[in-house]
Amino acid sequence: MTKPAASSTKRSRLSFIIPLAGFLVLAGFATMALLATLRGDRDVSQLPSAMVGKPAPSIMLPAIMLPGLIDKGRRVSASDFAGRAFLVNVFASWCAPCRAEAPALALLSEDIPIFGIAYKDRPEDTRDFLTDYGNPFAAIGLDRDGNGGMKWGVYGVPETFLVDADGTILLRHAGPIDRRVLDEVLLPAIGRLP
Amino acid sequence: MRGLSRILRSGLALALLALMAAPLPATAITPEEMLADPVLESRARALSKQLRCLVCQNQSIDDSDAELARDLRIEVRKHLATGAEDGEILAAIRDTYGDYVLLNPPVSPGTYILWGAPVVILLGGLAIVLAGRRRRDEDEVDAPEDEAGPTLPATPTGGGIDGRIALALASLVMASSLGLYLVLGRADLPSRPLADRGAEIAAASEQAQTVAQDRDAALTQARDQVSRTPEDVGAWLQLAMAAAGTDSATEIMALEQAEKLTGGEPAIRALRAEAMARAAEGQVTPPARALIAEILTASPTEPRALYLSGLAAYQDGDYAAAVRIWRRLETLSPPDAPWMKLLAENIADAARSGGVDPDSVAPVPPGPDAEAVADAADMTDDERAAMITGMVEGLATRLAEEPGDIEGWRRLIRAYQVLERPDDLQAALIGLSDAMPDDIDAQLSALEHMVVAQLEASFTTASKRLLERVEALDPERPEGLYIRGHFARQAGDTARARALWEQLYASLPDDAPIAPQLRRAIDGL
Repeated sequence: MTKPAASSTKRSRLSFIIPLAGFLVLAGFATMALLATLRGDRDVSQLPSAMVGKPAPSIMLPAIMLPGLIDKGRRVSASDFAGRAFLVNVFASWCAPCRAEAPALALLSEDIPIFGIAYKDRPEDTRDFLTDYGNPFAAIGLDRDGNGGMKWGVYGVPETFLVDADGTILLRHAGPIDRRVLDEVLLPAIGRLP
Repeated sequence: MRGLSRILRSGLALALLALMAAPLPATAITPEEMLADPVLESRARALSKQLRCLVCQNQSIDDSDAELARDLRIEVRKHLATGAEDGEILAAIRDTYGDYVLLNPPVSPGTYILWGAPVVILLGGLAIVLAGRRRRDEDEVDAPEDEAGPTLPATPTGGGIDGRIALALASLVMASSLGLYLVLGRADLPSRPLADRGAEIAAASEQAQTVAQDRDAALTQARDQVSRTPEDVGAWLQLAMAAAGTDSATEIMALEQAEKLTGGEPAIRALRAEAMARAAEGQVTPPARALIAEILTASPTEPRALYLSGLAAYQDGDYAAAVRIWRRLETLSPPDAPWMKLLAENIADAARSGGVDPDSVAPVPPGPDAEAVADAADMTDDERAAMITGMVEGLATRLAEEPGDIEGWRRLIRAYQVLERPDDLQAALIGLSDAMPDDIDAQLSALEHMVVAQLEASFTTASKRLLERVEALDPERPEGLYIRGHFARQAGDTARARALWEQLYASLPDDAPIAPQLRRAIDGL
């Protein structure tokens, strides 16, 4: 009992190393995720979107013609933009971050048409909102009950999608467009468009 | 004045308690969402429990009050109503929102590690145990007691038995932890009710701290709810309740919002008057008095306003008036109203202070709707909604007699917006336009709503009148040009519609985002 065999020592070392290695691998993953979060590369509030890579939903919405006016005879949808790349911005007059991203949208509207979806909003309020914060949209659809937003997989406002000329969703950003998102995400993605 | 302070504190605390006793829903689902078919409804509930609320992320949509959760619950029911299978419904929602929306993640290349890890760990554990056992078998020749210890008999089979026991124990632990997970830890299980955790919380922290934390949490939650559903009167009232006693500014602001949304419901205005008094450490301040006077003019039997009015008289030293007003409230209240005992004490106190005999003071006879107000204490939401509707009808009738009351029209318009009654809203918008015929914005709002709600055909005379006013007031106003064009097109006068829209088009700046759409609309005429 005081004379350990060579093979036994080797095995007991092995049975110690295997769990340790397993633990280190798990700890490594956790550390990487933590570091990415701290660096800002990974935002825990950004859920993966199932819509990226899929065709833009074709739901037709009542068009807001002039600010505050719906023409129920006319409807707008993503297919109105067929053949060119465009942004989709889901917004609402009652949403404070939507106000914050108004300047960014105004800037973007110089480069690319933006299809606005007024999510759960009253047309009167949408009009007041656009009067106060500017209208960067090439077309606006009224999504009174949020059903349109649901087709786009929206879970809060604002959300922004980039759709290419073939109608495929390339990118989705949930939350307001701030300087970092504009410079590091949206503008480069728009620049990469053919 | 010690009597006063006692009356004040106990009185207001009690009034607040009575308010807080209103029952809160145990689950997030509201009756109007439910399907009539109980079988479909139970399937809907089961599906809802498997879907994650993407706003709160750790609740199912069945548990969550978030608006998106509600939308998804309705979506599930819509699918069910079309006869879809459970799997199809989950697939459709997963298609839009991704795997993350499912509380039990599906097996896919992205989740192989997640699902495989327990199996790998189990097999790894087995391997280690087996390795240990084989080593024993090999080592036993040299050192049979190596692992088992010196006290165990070193028989040739001893190691094997130990290994089997260890193996059995290890598998048992793993199997039971798996079982425990399935029973307790699965992601789609409802969160444990707060009551279950009460003991743990109480043990972990001081009682007072818990209360403060609960209040803060309730306040935060109420704020969140309000920002999600700013049109919901109930949410604002919840916020007011949560803020009561700690943050009177928020409480008063929330009550103001609720008031606006209901078009000035007297019960809510009375709550605001009470909040104002509480913010002033119980003094019924002049602004609060003005508000109380307004409430009582409009609804002379509002119980809370009556109570406060009596309190104001008491604070002025007008004990006779205080007794009179409180006696009136006493007559109006049902005999089993929670405030009766306190009210009797207050009356006795005021009578003693003023040297009046309470029985000699005649209460003002109850008004015609005293019974209705007495019933208001235990109304359900539906009944309260019916009462609000009744008040709105009253306002509408009054405005029909006094059509020049611009503020009245505005209140009625807000009320109809909240109640979502487009036809009545249209009539009220026209009423406001007629009350202020020189205001082009009023005319335009009424016409815009007519277009939005597609009510052109029901209000042809009115629309004609409003369109004439718009044209006369500002013939070049862009919104006016668009609307006039729209009505011309509706009337079949394409040439006029084209002329108006062309005029609008010409007046637009070249880069106006709306220009191409207007062009298409003109071309489509």
